[in-house]
Amino acid sequence: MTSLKVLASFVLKEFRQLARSPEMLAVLFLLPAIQLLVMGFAVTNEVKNVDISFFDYDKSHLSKSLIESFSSTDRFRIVPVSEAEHPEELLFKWKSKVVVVIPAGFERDCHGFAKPVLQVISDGIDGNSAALANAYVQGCILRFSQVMLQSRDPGLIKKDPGLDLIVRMSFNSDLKSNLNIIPGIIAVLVTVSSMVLSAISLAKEKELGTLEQLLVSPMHKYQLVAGKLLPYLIITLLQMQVAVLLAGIIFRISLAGSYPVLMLFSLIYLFTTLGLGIFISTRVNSQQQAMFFSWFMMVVMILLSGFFVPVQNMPKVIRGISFFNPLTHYMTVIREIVVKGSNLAQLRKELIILLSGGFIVFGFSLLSFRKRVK
Amino acid sequence: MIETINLNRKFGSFTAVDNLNLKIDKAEIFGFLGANGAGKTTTLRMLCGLLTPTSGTITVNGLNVVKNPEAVKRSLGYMSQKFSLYGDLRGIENLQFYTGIYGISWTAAKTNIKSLISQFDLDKYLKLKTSELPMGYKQRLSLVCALVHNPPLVFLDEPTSGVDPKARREFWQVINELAYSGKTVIVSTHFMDEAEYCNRVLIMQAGREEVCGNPLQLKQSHRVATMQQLFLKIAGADNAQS
Amino acid sequence: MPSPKRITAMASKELFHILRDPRTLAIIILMPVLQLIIFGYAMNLEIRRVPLLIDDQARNASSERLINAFSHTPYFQIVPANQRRLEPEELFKERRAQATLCIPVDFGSASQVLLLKIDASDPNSAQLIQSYAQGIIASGFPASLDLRPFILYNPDLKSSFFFVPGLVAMILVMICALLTSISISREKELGTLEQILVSPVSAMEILLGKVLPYIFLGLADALLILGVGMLLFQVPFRGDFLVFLGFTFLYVLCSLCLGLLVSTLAKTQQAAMMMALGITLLPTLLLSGYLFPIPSMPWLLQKLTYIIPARYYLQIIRGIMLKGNSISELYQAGISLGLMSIVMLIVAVKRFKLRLS
Repeated sequence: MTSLKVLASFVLKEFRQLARSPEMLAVLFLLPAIQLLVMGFAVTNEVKNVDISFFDYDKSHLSKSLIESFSSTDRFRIVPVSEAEHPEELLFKWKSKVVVVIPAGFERDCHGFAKPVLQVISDGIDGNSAALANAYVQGCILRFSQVMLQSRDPGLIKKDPGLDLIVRMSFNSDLKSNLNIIPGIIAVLVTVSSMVLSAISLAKEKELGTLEQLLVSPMHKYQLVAGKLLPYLIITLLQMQVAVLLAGIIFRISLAGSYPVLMLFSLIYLFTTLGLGIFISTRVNSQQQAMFFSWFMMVVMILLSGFFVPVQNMPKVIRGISFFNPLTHYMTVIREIVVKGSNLAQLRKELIILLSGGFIVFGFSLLSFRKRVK
Repeated sequence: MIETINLNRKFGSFTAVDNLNLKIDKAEIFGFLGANGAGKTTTLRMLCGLLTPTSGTITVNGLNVVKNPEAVKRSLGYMSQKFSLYGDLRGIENLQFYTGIYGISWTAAKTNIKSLISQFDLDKYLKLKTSELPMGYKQRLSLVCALVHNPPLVFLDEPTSGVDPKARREFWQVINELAYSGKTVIVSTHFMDEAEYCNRVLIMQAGREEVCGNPLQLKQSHRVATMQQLFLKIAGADNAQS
Repeated sequence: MPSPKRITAMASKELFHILRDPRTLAIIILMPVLQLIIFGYAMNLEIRRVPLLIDDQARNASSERLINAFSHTPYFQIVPANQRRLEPEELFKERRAQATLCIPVDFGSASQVLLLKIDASDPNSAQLIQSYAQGIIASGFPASLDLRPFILYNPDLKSSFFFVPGLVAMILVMICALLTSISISREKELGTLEQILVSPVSAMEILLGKVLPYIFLGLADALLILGVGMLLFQVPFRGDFLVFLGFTFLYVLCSLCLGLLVSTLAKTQQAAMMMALGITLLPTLLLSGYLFPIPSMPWLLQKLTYIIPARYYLQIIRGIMLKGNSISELYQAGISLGLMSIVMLIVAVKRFKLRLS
């Protein structure tokens, strides 16, 4: 009972310190909310409003309706061009991202036997989004040509039946990018709050010399660690509620799966991140170092977690490394539960990995903390 | 050397220094006494140009502190109660840094502080990082840092807090020598025994001057045996610090 | 008149601080290199090995041919059908397949309809899976149009082409804004700023001396990234190096002004760190167009990007390195950077002076 009292007084002290510092409170609740909002809107793999220009040397009905077909979607924004300009110059001067050249005689070729030629020149410096933009342009043109052929010569389709592919998108029929990104952001926020804040807070006690004061008290070292970590555990779980709530209100993302299962996994995962927080604090001398060190770990963890890019796209060696990244598994879990509504049995593999990971990391960190403070 | 006329400083509605008129002579050791929060540090900071007065004027060597900050700053050395040293720099590097920001050469600075270093027994500590130094040596080093440019005027803001009695005595020996060599030393303290070493003291309370004068004469006129008793008599038992 | 002697004293002291903390230094220098390598090798949006389950009810020559077509691409990995015959959604939840293709019994004779179900919880991959599948099915059928795509500046669409310039922009802002702001607030917290302020050093000299080492550190780190990127990933440098240096200097100036501004706003190191993170790093990462295209963002965020220095610098560095742009194409971005620096510097110096008194 006394040990519980000791723990309670410690936790109370931590909360009092937090409540007294409006800056920290802002960091704890305002910053994550802003992050969720900004990232929720900014982080997307969708490509929209691509600047596109047309050089129409045909000036026919057909070429105009081709251009028209690009204005109906929000994927493109048509940039007008003057005759004097040159297609490549437009890209060079950042005026446009994609240029389509419709040659003279385009309509005639479409009606006749010659295959009409279209030139699509695009700016490749954006890599991934350039690839997507390019695919959209091609898709748009192909669709146009099919519709055109069908309307002009219905017989043609019959002669060459082709295959009809019906595509159904499960769980996310509108292909909303948000649905994938927002759970990912929540996973990142949970990691940041628990790992970075606990590392900095322990490093602060070390820097100020108050850790020594605590160590000479009759408090057991485990109580010290528990007292230090419990507030961050509670705060992180609270933050998560706020984030889930915001995701529901602002981004209209509702939880498909079970809430208790999500909380259970989060609790298990927090053992790993808090353990990492302790570990970092044992290796540093100042708050600043703690911050840089944990931040460094964060960046690597996020990049290899599949947050932006699915892990399966990565080369084999990196896939191997990312298996040992706890965030990878937590990211999977949170997305599966939020988007697909998977149950505990379907996530058994992740459960085992996160449980054993938490056990190893937390245990190792405790040992290393005990050794360091002795 | 230093003269203030109707010096005032307010922080919001709180008056930290209230209508202070002072005259400090050359080669004098002038002590500011008072409880914590009596306005000693605020006064000292205004005298060396760190804080601007709310009203009133300060002249140092005939120069207005607010109007000629750079010329005044050149002539003063300042040691704060925090011992402003860079913990990750070695002792010698701290000295070189403070020499550099006064824009003087290291060789010139070395002649200024050579005797101080040997007197303070600092030689063997100069190669260590200052975060590793014992408290007493941090204090000595930060005094030396304040003297690299050989200023005629030295401000010491509670220079002996946290230092053992033996080190304090040695420190005051050096202060005496500084005054003997013609420097004016202005020191704030709440150790009443240190007040006895001053040529003149000013006891402050709630930002106001209570008494000012030579310790010996003050004791006689108030009929007390020690400065401690004088202080308690003036400031009231509640505010006694030492 | 700033005295070179005093500035040197400030700068060399600052340099000592940097060198005495090798762990932070290592992180600052190594993190971008590590990021570069991860980005270069791991960040590939091109999908690979999508587990595809084919429910072949026809089992005839035509369906065999179709399955063959799918299994001979690097995009799909055919997973064997399970005995329990789970619904596709259940399969997706078990994560044994990411797409299922149903070939009907009469495939090849009467019906030509195929059903493709895709796990769209990752919409980006889902879209790619769809287009690859359509591509495979459409191949072998004559196209009605001859589409000739030309991709300029980065014909292989390599992601390293935009990660390398982006990282340079990140590092410069990180070192010049984040580290400077922390280093000033640290002196404030430790009380050493007071000791400096009683000396005749002017505000200009303090600021100049403090930022000089970080400018060099930032530039050195940026050049390191540039070198590694060009060696490992064959990122070209098509423009004029001197023009590049000139614009980079402008950007460094802008980042420093930002750092100074943060340091005058924050009271403690911790606050400075958090603020610098919130004002400098995150916006540079998220809102500069480095990772996520600006035109795809909502209206408000698009407007917000106009006050983010990295937005302009990214155009400059990508333009010079990849397109071979020169001043005439980039002067507008340069002017924006210059204007922002001036505004921030005026505010920062005003606030810094207030704090002195």
